Amino acid sequence: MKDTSSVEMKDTTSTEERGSEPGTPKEKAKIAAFLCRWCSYAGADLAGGSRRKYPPNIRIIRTPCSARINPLFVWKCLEEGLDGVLVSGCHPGECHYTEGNYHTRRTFAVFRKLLEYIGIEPERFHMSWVSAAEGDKWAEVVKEVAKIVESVGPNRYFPKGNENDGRGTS
Amino acid sequence: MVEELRKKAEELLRSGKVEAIIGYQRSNGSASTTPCFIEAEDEVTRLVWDEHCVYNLTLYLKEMKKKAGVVAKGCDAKAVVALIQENQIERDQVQIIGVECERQLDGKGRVLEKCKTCQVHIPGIYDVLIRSKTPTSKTEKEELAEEDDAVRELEAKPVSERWRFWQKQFEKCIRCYACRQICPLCYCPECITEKTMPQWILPSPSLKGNTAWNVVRAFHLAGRCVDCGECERVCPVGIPLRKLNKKLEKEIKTMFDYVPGLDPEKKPPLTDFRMDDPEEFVR
Repeated sequence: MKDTSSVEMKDTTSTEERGSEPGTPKEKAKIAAFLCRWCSYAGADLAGGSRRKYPPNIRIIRTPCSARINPLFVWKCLEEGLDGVLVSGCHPGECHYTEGNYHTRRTFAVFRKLLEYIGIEPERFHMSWVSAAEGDKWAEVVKEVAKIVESVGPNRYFPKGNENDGRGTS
Repeated sequence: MVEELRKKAEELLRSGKVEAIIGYQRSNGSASTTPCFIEAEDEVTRLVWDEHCVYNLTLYLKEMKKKAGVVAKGCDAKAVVALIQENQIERDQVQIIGVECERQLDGKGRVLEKCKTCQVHIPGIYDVLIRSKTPTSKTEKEELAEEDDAVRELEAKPVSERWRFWQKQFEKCIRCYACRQICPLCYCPECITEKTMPQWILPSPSLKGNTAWNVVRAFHLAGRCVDCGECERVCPVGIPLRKLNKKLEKEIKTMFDYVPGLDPEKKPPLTDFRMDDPEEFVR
């Protein structure tokens, strides 16, 4: 499909390209970031608003609270071929719903151990506390995370077209 | 022990404390046993107890519509505790006939793996306790030493090797969900793997779906699994599921100082938190 109006918005690393051509070295890592709408999402917004530069590897998904982030979301990202996942919420004690982030912390403290144990590189999962005022911290976190995720190379856990995933040929 | 067990069962039924006893009976013409449900006093002679009684009978407690007594080994009794903690059964609705266990055998006469590292030969919770005449002699220290071995061995391997190991295991999975059906703590009326809008876990026996299923199964039991080992025992393709369960048990013990199935008053660790939980992994 030709659509000249979307040229500027074009994503140079579409899922199809990445999946079928494993490991062209110049590829940028793709990282999903699940952000709490009260803090980290606003923090990322502030980073943008104040024109802080940070790597474009991040794809932001906004959630109502970091506690909304089911470990299954993280698993799904890795399963579908994303190179890393970042979960970010409010600093402990600052949750909009009083205690959501404490639960997030416990959940992922355990889940990351399970991921490591079944053979997912620990470099692929990250967590951070970023408040709505910490645009600078957000930029720093993304820089660090992108660097670490890129250091372990592309996600090859479930190569596409290499298995019966129950979805036919599409 | 068997005589004592039958006598206690009869007493419980006669006194009206329970309307049914869930126990073990000999299966037809073989050494192994199957679960049985006894509702009349004169049927208690069906009850047996020996090293072939492997089932975790607490699986049936949630389904019982009446007051029930259950024959429980140490590991099974922990499942009762977990069910009480999670408000799935009420303590006064169940009579626990604890039996001191002397290591159970699998179908081929070998001691079950879980029994080799067992810490609870005497149930931690019971209404009636039936003691063994020949208690196990192993010291606690020896048992502890063995406990972490299987997990530690795998942890020591490089991450890529662990991935290969588990992929080889999950590859075998035929998605029969026997692990789920046998688990006394897998009681969701609708399992996530059967949800289709959205479909989180591929239902076909593919490597992708199998891995997702096994990851999710293990994680949903994190901090809840009492290591009765039934999932591993019933797995028709021999996936070492206890290796997954034990790992999570270990991490939760280290991080939150919590052991499942001991205290009915405590909250399960993943529904609870402390202000000073570990967070060295958070940026």
